[in-house]
Amino acid sequence: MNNHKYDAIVIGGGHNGLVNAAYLAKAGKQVLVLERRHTVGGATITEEVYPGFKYLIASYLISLLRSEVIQELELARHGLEIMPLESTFVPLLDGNYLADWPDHDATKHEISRHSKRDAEAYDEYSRTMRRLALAVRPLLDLIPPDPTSVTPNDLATMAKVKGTLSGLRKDDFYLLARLMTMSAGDFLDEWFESTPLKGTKATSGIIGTFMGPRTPGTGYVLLHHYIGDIDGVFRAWGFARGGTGGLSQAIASAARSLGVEIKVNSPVAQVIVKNGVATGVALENGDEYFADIIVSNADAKRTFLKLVDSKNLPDDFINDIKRFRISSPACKVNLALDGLPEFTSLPKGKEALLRGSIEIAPSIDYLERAYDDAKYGGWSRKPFMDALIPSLLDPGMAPPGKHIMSMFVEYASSDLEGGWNEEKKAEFLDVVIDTLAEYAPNLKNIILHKHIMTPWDLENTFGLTAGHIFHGELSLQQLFFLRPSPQWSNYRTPIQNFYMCGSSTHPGGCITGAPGRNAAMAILEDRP
Amino acid sequence: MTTIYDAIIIGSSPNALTLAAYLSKAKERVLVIEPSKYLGGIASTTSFAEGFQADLGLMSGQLNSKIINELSLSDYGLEVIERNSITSLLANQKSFTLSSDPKEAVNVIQSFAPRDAERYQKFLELLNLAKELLESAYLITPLQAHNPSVVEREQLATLLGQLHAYGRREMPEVIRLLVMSSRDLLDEWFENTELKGLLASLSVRALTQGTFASGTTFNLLHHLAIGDGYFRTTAKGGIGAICQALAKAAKSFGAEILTDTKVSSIDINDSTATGVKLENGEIIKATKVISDYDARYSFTKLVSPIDLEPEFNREVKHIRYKGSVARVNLALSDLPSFTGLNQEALKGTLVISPSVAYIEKAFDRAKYGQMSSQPFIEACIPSLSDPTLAPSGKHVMSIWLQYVPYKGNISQEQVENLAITKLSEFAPNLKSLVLQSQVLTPQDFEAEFNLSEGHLYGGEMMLSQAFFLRPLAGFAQYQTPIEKLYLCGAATHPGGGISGLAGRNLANKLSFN
Repeated sequence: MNNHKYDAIVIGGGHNGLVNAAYLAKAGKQVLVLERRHTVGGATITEEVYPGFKYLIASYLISLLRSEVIQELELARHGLEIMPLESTFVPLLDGNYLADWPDHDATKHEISRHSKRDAEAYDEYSRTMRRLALAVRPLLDLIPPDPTSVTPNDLATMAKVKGTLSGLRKDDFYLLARLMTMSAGDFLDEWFESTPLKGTKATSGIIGTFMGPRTPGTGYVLLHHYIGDIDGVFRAWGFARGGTGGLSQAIASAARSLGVEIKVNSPVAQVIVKNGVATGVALENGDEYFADIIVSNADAKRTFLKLVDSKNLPDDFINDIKRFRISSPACKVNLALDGLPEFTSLPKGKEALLRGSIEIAPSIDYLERAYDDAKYGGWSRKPFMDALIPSLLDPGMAPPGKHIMSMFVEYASSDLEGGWNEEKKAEFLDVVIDTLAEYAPNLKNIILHKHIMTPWDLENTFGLTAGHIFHGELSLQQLFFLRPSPQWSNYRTPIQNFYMCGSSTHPGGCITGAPGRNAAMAILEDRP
Repeated sequence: MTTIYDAIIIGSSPNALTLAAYLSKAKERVLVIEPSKYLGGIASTTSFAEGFQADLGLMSGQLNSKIINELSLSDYGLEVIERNSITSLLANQKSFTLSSDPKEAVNVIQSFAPRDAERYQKFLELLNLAKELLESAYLITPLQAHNPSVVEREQLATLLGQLHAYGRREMPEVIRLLVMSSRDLLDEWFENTELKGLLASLSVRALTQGTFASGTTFNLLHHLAIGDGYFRTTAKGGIGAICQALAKAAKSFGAEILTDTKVSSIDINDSTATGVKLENGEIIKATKVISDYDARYSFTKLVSPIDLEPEFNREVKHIRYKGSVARVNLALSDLPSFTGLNQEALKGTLVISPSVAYIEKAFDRAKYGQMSSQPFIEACIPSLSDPTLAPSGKHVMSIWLQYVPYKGNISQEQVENLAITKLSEFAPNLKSLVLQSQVLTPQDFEAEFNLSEGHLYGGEMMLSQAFFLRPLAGFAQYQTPIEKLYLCGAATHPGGGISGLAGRNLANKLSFN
C-alpha cells in the first residue's frame, strides 16, 4: 500500500498520456504516470521482436504532432529527431508507377506522365488543401464547446469557432462544407482524372477508418490527415529516429525532466471513486495510488466500461460510450528482410524512392474493393498497404545489409467472422505478402521473419478496444463536441476530478498530442 | 401582337405547378411548358395498358399541407390516400407488417423482438424531433451560411431556438442524426436484424449510397419531412392527380399550360433571361424564366455553357446524380397471392430489405456499374385502395427497384425479369398474372424526361448537396448566374419529392422582391 499522494495520476503512458502529464507537471503538479506494459509509448513504440530488427509494431509515422507540443515541451532537446519522409512511390502492376517527390516540380513532372491536366490541377489542389487545413487547424486546439450550454466559457469557444469559419473565404467555406460531408473519392474525382493519382491521394481518406474511399465522411478524414505539420510543412509525414518509440521516449524524457514520475509494468485495474469523486487508482496487484486529479489515456470504452464501476456513471452516459463506434480495420505488418525488395516498376536510378512511403493503392476502386471485402466481417483479398523501409532512413533499425519493412495494412475487420486466432492471422499475413510480392517478386525470398498485428493483437497488446488506432471512428457523429459523448467532449467526465486525455476525445487519433495538451488545459481550468 | 408573360416555367412537376398557381394567384401572367406528353413529367399517372393506370416515376408523396390549404386543392379534386402499413418480405416466405399506428407496430415487434419493441416509440419520437426541424428549414429559402444577412441571421436564430428547445440531451442527438449513417443509427437503437433492415430502407430511397454511408439518416429524415416516409401516401387517381389538381387551380387563376411542347433553349440577352425558344423556332417572351429542370440540364442544354463562367460550369459538372432507381409497372389479371399476407397488408407498401447489410451489398454492385441479383424493392398495389386504376377484378402493381446504375446500361428486360423473379419468391403466382408491363430505367428517365443521369430527385439528397449547397454553393436560393432566370425543381432546396415546397419558397421569394 502506497500512501503517497500525488496531484495527478495519468492512467496509460501513450503519447497523449505523456503529453498530458508533462503539461500538468509544467504547471507545477506532481504527476504519476502508470503504464501497464514494460515500456511507455502505448501504441507509439518501437520493439525488437526479432533480434537486431526494430519493429514499429503499431504507429509508424508522425505528421500531425502539434508544433506547439514540440516547442512547449522542448522535445528536440529531449532527443526527438524527425526525418521527413521525402517521397511516395506507388508501384503499378502494368510496369508503370507514380511518384511524389519533395520537389513540387518533380512531382508535377511525374503526374504529367499520367495526365497533363492533373499536373496542372495539382498546384491548385495543393494550395486549396493547404488553405483548408490551415483554416480548420485552430479548431484542433480548442476544448470543444457544449452547444447546449450558455456558460461564458462555452459561448466564448463557440464564438471562436464561428469566427474561424466566417473568416474563411466564401469559396473555401463552401468547399469545406462539402468536403466534410462527401467521400474522398468523389472529392478527388472533381480534381483529377489519373487513376493512380486518385488512388494514392484517396489513402489519406481511409487511414485508420473503417470506411471506403467512396463512403461519404471520408472527405473529412482526408482533411484530418492534411492538418499534419512538421515544422510547418503541410501534409509532410515524418519518421522519428528510432521509430515512433523515439518520439515517446522524447516526450517521456521531457516529462521526467519536469518532475513526472513514470511507473511501467503497473496495470491499473480500477479507478477509485468515492461519492462521485475520483480519488485514486487501484492496480491489478492491489497497490493503490491517490491523487486529486485522475486522467485516463485509455480509450473511452476501456475507460468507462472496464476501469470505472458503472454504478458511478449515469445510464445515458454509459449508453453513449457503448454506442461509440470503434470497429477497426487496421493492421501492422513488419518484415525482417535479407535485402531490399525489388519492385518491378521501379526504374533504375530512382532507388531513392524506397526511402519514402511505398503505397499499394493503384486506384480508388482497388481501395473500395478492399473495403467491400472486409466490411461484413472479413478481410481484403487485395489489401491497401502503406509501407516504409525504416532501416534505409535509420540504419540502427536493422543489422548491416539487412532491412526492416513496416507496413500499415487495411482492411481486416476487428469483428472478423468467427473471431481472430493464430491460424487466421497467419492466413491474412500470407495475403499481405502475396499481394506485395506481385509488385516486388523477390520479396518472399528475402523474408527472414514476418510479424503481424491484427486489430485483435492491437487490443491484446495495447488495450486498444477493437484495436482501433484512433480510439474510435472519425465519423462525423463522433467529432468535436460529440466525441466521445455529446455532454462530455471537454475532457471532463460525469465523475468529478476524473478526466480523459486519449484519442477518444477531440481532435481524435493520430500522433497529434492535441488531446493530451487540450485535456491539460481543461484540467488546469478546473484546478489551476 | 406578342404576349410578354410575367413568368414562363419550363417543366410541370408539382414544384413548377405550385409556383404557377401561386404566381397566377398573385395576378401574374404565367405560362407552363411541359416538354413531355404528360403533365407532371415523372410525377404523372399514365395509362400503360388498356384500362390500367400507373404512376410513371415517383410513386408516392404528398404536397405540403400549407400548399393544399392555401390553394384550396381539395376544391380542385385532390383526395389524399394513405397507405397505413409496411410489410417486410423475408426469406422463406416469412414477413411482418408494421402499422402506421405506433402502438399496433409495437405489438407486432413485441412478437419477434421484445427488447426492440420497448425502444420503438422512443426512436420514432427522436426521428420526429429531427423531422420537425427539417420541416421548419424546408419552409424557407435556404440561408446563406457564409456571412448571412440580417434577415437570414434571424431565421437561423429561430431554427437554432427550435433545436435548443429540444433540451440538453436531445439537441446533440438531433445533430448526430443529421450526419450519421443509417447503419450506425439503427445499430444504436435496435438488435433485431429484420427490423433494422426494414427501417433502413427509407434511408437509401432514391440514393446511390448504401446504408453504411454517412448522411443516409439525413435522406431518411428528408423523406419524413416531406411527408413521404415509411408509410407512403398518394392521391386518388395516382400521383398524377396531384399535378392535375394543381394545374386546375393554376388555370383557374389564369395560368396557361402547354404539354408536348419542346423548349430548345432559354433566350438570354445581356446575361438576362428574356424568354424561351421552342423547338419549332417560335420565341415566347417573358420577364422571368423558371426552369423546373435539374441544374445540369438547365445549364448545359437550356442555357449554353458559353453564357456562363467556366468555374460555374465546372461545378455543374460535379453535381452528383448517378440515378439508380428503376420503375416497373405491371398490369395483372388478378391479385397476386403473397404467402401469409392478407388483403389489408397488400394495401400498404411491400418492402424487400431484410437487413442493413442486404442493402449495402446491393449497393456494392452498383458502385462498379452492376445490378445486384438481390435488389432493394418497394412495391405496392394501388388498385386495391383505388379501383379506378385498373379494370374490375384486375390490378396494377408499382415496383421501385434499386440499384440499377445509370452507367451500367442495364436493359428494361433485365430489370423486369429481376423484379418479377424477386417478388415471385413471395408471390409464386405473380408471373402468370402479368398481362403487360412498363419499365423505366435511369437511362429511360434521362432520354424521355431529360433528367440528368436519370436521377428522379434532380441530384442526390446527400448532405454535400443539401440546404445552402443545393444545387450549387452560392446559388442555393433559387437564383442563377443569369438574371431573371430561376430554378424551382427538385434540384433546389428542399430537394426531391412531391412536396411542392421549392415552388412555394420561390413564389414567396419572387413576391417579396
